[in-house]
Amino acid sequence: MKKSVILVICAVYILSVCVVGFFGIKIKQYYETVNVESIVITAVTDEQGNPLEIGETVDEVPVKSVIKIINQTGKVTFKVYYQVNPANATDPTVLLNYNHSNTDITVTKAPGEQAVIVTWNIENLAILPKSFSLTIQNNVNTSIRDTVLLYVVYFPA
Amino acid sequence: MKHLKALVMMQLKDKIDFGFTASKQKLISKIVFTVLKFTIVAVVAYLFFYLCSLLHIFNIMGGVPKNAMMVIYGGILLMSLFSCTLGLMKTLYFADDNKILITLPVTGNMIFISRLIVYYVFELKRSIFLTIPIFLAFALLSKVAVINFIWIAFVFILLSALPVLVGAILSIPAMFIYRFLQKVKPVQILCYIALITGVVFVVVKLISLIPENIDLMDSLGVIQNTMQDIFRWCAAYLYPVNRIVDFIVGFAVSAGLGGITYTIADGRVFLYFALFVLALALLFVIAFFLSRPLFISMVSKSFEFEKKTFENNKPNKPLPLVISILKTECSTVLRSGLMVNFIAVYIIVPILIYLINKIFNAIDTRTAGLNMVYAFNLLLILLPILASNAMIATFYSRDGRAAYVKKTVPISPILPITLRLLPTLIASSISLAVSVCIFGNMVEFSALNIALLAISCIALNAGHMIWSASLDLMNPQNETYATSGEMDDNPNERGSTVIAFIVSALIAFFSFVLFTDAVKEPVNLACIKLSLIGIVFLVACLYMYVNKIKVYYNEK
Repeated sequence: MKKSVILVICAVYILSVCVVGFFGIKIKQYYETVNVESIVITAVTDEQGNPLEIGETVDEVPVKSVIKIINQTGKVTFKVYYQVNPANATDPTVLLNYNHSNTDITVTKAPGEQAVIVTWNIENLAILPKSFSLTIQNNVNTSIRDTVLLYVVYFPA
Repeated sequence: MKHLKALVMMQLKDKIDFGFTASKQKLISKIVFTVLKFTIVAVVAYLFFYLCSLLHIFNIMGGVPKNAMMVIYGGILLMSLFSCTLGLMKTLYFADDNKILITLPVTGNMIFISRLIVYYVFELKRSIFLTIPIFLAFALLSKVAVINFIWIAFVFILLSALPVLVGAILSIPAMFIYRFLQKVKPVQILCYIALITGVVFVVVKLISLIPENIDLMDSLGVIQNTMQDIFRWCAAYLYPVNRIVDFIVGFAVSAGLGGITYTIADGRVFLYFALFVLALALLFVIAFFLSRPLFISMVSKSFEFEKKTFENNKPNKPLPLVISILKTECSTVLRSGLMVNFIAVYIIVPILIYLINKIFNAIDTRTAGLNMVYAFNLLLILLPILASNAMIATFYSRDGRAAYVKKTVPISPILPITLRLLPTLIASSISLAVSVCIFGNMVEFSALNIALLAISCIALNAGHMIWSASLDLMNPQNETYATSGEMDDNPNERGSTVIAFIVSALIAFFSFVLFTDAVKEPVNLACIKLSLIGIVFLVACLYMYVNKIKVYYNEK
């Protein structure tokens, strides 16, 4: 066989793959993956739904902090609202990172809204103030996160 | 020196067409073509390296590491070594023109050196058009200094001598092996069979490694690890190649995300280069003192009065007419060099069909795509095999002036003419059947459909074979073959190739239409129609062929 014929046959082989790959491929709906760019803790409220002021604790990195003043024992509830940006992110689910060994505190996700409920059982006022760190992080990229430090301070009435 | 130059030029003119030096226009077009060839190789190599760098195939940090170049250069060097050893063995010890060269008023040493220089020129040509562009593309990607580019071009002037000198030394054992294999034919046949089987096995094994779903990103980790393993193995076992690449490329100066930069301003580069030059000189001395005496003794051997003895003379046995003609025609075909080309095509086609179907299987096709797959399979099976039939369009002309013997045999000429096609027909039919079986199995066709498609392909091939044969019979080129032995532009060959392309394309088109219609019907119907098309084509070709022979050979 001549070189030119061999070259043409090779070209036909390559062309066949291109044609089948281009015109014969199954049409699929393409879903664009929108990645989470940031998670921001926007507000913290108490059990009555009153917003608590968010301050900034500066240690090595600035961390948001909320102080709740109490005057009696019992359950203290914080509701931490967060926002996942952009709003149309493909996977907006978050992971909650906190100290699980603290049995006085229960952390649950608020159903139907982007919020976390932190319930703190304070039984001994003598050992207050106490702090609890809650980090809300992205399910896929854990470096996308925001942290809030919740403080409970005893102040007699 | 003048004699040596004349000797080298004489041999080069025999192998290279220097016609372009005759006119300015031809010279310019030759230069443009050469530059274009060089640029195309360099661009393709650069794109390949760039893609590998982008996908981090060779290295987790990106870029192309020096080890990759070691593997590439190792492969090229191995191929060069193989071709130089075989070529030099034939040129130094078995070439017929040695008997003419020895009569020239030059020394044997000069002839020997001129032979090596001719091979060196070809090796340099190979370096210019393959190895240097690849290394330049690598250097361009690694963003090295301009001096590195000049260094690469300079180094290859010496590096091209390496496979020639090693080949000259290795040609001695190669010559003994060759002579042994020539003497003991069964061993030679066994060796060829083992070699072909081994190569086919390795290729099929490699193709079977292609995953069902090609997902480069998913398997990137596996690819990177495999590459690292290959590099480690080569670095451990290809030490000389590693050192050669060290002085071609230089040593790393900075490495980071996106690649590594190299410099030749390192003492080790010049140390390794000096050691290489010394090794080259040593190889030349060894080649000169080992190969040259053997070359001179073989060339100066008297051949005029050599008596050829046939030890295994068998007495002639009368055979039935058909068997006798079949034996003669088969011997003619099998002894011609053409059979190697046919066999190569018949072995390669099923392997290519396996490869192409592996790729097709990895593509998620819709129904129309599946029909395209069927059509392209038929096209890709038929096209190379039918195109190889172009050699059949030279079968009878190759007899030269002996072609008229057929007219003197007191039987119908149809028999010997047709029986000559039998060995190729049987071999091609086996290849077609295997190819269709592979294709049918991979697209999950039933056994009946596979059988019908095989019948279609075999009938089409037989028809085209007969058509090609009749082209040669109707427009014989015996005189050209009788005088020159070869014909570059045979109109029958050209015609047969054109018919092969048209027939294959039409069958592919029909099969696409038939399989598309078959969505509403059982697929079998499309296969039945295709086999009928094949049979009708064969019958039509056979009818015309018989009639043409009757007309051409009936001289009243």
